[in-house]
Amino acid sequence: MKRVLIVLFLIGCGPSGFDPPTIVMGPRVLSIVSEPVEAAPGADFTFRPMLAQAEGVELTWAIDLSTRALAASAGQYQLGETAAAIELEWDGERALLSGGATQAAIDALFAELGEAPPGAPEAVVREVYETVGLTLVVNLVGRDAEGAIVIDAFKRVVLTPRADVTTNPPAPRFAIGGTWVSARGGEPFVCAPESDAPVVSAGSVVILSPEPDETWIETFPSIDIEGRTVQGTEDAYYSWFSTAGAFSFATTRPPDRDVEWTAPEEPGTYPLWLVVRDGHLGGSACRAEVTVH
Amino acid sequence: MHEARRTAHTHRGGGSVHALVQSYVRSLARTERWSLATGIAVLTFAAPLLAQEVTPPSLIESPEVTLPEGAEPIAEDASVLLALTIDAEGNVSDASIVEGVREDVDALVLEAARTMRFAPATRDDQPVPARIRFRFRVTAPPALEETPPEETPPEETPPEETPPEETPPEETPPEALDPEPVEELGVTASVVREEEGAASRITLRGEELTTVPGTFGEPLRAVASFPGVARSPFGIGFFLVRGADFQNTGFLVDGFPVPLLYHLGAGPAILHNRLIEQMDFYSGNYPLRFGRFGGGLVSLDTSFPNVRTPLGEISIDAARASVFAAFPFDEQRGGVAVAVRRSYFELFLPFIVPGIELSYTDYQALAQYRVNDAVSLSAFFFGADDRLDQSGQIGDGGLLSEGSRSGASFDLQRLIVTMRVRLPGRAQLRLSGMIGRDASGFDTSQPGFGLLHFAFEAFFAGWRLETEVIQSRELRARIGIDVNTLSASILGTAPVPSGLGEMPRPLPTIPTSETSLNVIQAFAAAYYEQVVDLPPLELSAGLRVDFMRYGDVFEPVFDPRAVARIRVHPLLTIKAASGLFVQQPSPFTIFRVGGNPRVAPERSWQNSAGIEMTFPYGIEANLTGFYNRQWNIARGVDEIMPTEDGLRRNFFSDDGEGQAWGLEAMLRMRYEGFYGWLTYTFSRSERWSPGVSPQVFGFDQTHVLNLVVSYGFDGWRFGGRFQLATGRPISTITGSRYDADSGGYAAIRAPSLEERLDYSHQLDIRIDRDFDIGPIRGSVFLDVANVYFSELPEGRIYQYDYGASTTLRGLPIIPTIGIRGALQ
Repeated sequence: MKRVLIVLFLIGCGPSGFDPPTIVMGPRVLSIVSEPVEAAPGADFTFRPMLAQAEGVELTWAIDLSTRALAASAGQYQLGETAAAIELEWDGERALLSGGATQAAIDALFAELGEAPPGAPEAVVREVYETVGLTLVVNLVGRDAEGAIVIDAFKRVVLTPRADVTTNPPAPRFAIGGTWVSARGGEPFVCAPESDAPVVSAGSVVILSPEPDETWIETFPSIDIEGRTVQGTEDAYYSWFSTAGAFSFATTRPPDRDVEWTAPEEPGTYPLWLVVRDGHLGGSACRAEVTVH
Repeated sequence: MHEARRTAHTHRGGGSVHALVQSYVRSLARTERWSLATGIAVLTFAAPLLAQEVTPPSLIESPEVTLPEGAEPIAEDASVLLALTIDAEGNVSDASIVEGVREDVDALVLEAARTMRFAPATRDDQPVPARIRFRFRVTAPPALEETPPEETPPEETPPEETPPEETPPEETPPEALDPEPVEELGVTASVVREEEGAASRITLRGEELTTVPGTFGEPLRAVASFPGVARSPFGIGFFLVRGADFQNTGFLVDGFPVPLLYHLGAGPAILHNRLIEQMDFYSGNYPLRFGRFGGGLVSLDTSFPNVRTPLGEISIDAARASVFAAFPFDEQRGGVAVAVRRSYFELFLPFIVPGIELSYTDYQALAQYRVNDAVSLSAFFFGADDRLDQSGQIGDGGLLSEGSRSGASFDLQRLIVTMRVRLPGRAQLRLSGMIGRDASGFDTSQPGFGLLHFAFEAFFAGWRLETEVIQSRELRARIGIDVNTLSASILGTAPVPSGLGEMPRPLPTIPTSETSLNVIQAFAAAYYEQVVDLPPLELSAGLRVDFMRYGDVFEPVFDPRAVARIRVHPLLTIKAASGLFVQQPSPFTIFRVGGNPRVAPERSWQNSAGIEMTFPYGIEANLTGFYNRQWNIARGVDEIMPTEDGLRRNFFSDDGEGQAWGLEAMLRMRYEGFYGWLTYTFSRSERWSPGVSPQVFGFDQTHVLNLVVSYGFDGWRFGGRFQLATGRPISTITGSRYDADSGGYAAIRAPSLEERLDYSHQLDIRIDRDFDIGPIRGSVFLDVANVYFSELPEGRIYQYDYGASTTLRGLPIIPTIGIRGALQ
């Protein structure tokens, strides 16, 4: 009761004078898309970042595949010894977590845990692995020319022997004031006009509408508060960014997918980024260009 | 219950004995009706008439004397006749008993007499030593449960043959003393000593507790400026005492717990101050008769107010209106009082914070009757109803966005029936029972969230049996039973923790569960306390055994406690206390689903030692050091526990530990129209858990200083309160990481809470003006909290990526004006 009151006081006090999260003002990573999202050990994972204003930023990728990290993802914090991060291969477009590495990690995990009686913490790790999977966290760090960290981000993937793994949403498609742009069939992260290039008036309010087709929403298993295995359901989340103007919401979801973008007063060409997430590690993203006159 | 206390109380009189006696009696009449015994001194001079050039000594100041708790009652007209030698400085150089009452009473009066001060006798305008006889009369208080008040005529003490060393003082014929109605003096914060079994207690008294600046006339809010109490964020009415968490300090009404004493947790008290007989605040090592709180205690005792004829009173201020009425009957053997208060925030709050509606109501009815000299009965019913509704966007959005609607409510009712009996053999008994109900509800509808609904209803029952047995002059015992039961039901669609396998989402999705839970808890305690009174040593030691039944827990808990006091000097007492305390975990931590029904009772070991001093001019000082150790603290976790039935998720563990140590000091003065106190608390509080090294407690405040002053004259009273407190610890955020799955940022925090918010400092002022219009007496007041709009840092607000931050400010300037009028 007492804590709740304090929280109510805090909720009532909104921030002011801060930069909006939707306006990109420096190097940022807006999305990291992994392929696949969930997979069995032995499969390769690739990670592709969608960056903004990150020219000249050097990226490095790392992951902790230690027994300690894997057991902790199953709620067993007392198992394993020390963390052990390894660096991922990065070719400038994609980072690679090899299937060999994930297989070795799982093999090491269960070799270290051994055969445990039912109910032991080691058995819990195995049960969670088989039921919902173990979560791995991939870390991304970007440094500028002086070596200062300007990007620090992470992305999760799941290792699981389940057959019904979840997948990424399709590449985005959305309308800018009625003009459709799409990233399907083209270069990754690029939303190209399907017909005319989008043009809007300076200072006008533009409706941005994602394609209202969310047949890609999937279900996944989870362990609820009573320890039962239940099915969770993904949702669709649309997050919007630009370098100027103002958005009515940073993120929308069905049924209110649309967002209003107040175009900047200054004429020019501006990027509009859309990041689509399914709420269960899956994602897709793209960047469109809009002309303001 | 009567209290053992010795409160220095000073009064200055005029030049004549008449004026002195009147002044003294008047001020004693104002001091309290709650004291078991209030000393009324009547000067008599047993000597031949003085020559014109000789004047007798005149009383300047005298301590109030009250019998120790547990002492045998005395007759109404008991008095002690003293022989005093007063030197040329006006000090009592010798005192002896001429006619005593009883050894323990005589000893107290004699001790008090040695601290009296007089204007010396004079001859030819030169001070000279003198011997006088002084009758110190002790009367019972005019409380309903005690002997009814009487208009005390002066004691007709016949002159006695006491030859003065110098020219004998003139015999002054006794003069009639006009009884005066009880006046409100303002606040009295007495460092009360000698409550057996309590290390220290600060007592506030209802009718005197309406003028502390910044409290808006609410006596309970004065607790915030007491030693050992840290500054509460946003001025909420829950207290951080001696490094313990909010929930560790309990609220009791007539011995029974209530979840809160303030509307909406931060507003005015839920009880009308006319019905509050006394409020005791224990910062630690509270008496054995209380239990189930691991920190301090705020204990309220209620009673019919001290009125002799029907009284009606209306109060109106900027936030609420209240009506109070009291009807004594049967020659004041009984009385009935009722009070209703209602806020009207809804009239103006929408203009200040659109979308917020706020209201509260409270109501009380008290009936009290003294059946005979041995038995008195009382019944007290009270309730409160708080409502908070929100609709639409507030601030810059966030959780409270356009289209949102939320509502919260809290109701409580209690009925407490008490019977007090004086038994043969000097024993006393108090039997009380309670039934009650709490109901709280919360519902919210947020875009994308759906509807959350949560309703909690609990029924309480409890009873207490307290007996006090005087075994001998040196030995007293207290034996008691304290039982409380709770039956609660929880219904609704409640948020639950995310399932394992769920991942963070860009917009919060609150998993819900249709909840229907029933909880039954029972707590029964028995205690025995033995008091050994061998002056100058007083030792209280005892054992309280609490049987606790909740969740999967059913176990007895043994709490031995001891308090020792040594009066090394009439002005100086050394004290030390140590004891174990237990507290059941919050009901929300022990739910079978979403909690952990095996969470053990929280324990604490409290220790304190210090000194208490009294000085002339109503000055008291108290210095106490403390060390508290806590274990079995419930803390939030997210563990998956293997069981025979499969996996089970635990969200609370009882392996948290803590400790706190510090020093608290209070210097208080009450003299004529002035009252005030200066308090300072230095403390350090830490918490840890397995594998985690001790860290400073999140609400720790190293230094807390309070200064309260108030001065009244000619119907005016001016007061101020200043508070200075160290800022609470906060995490040092060194950066952030972008969570590509949720789109949010996770702060990178330093491993320990080394950074603190800035010091907070606040000044409150208050002006009262009494008026008297025909039969209506009342007052008008202006109370302004945070006069100079101090920032009052409560936390930090961060930009979405933690790249910028600003201070979360506390309460702004809050002015309140009000009027109160009483017709009697």
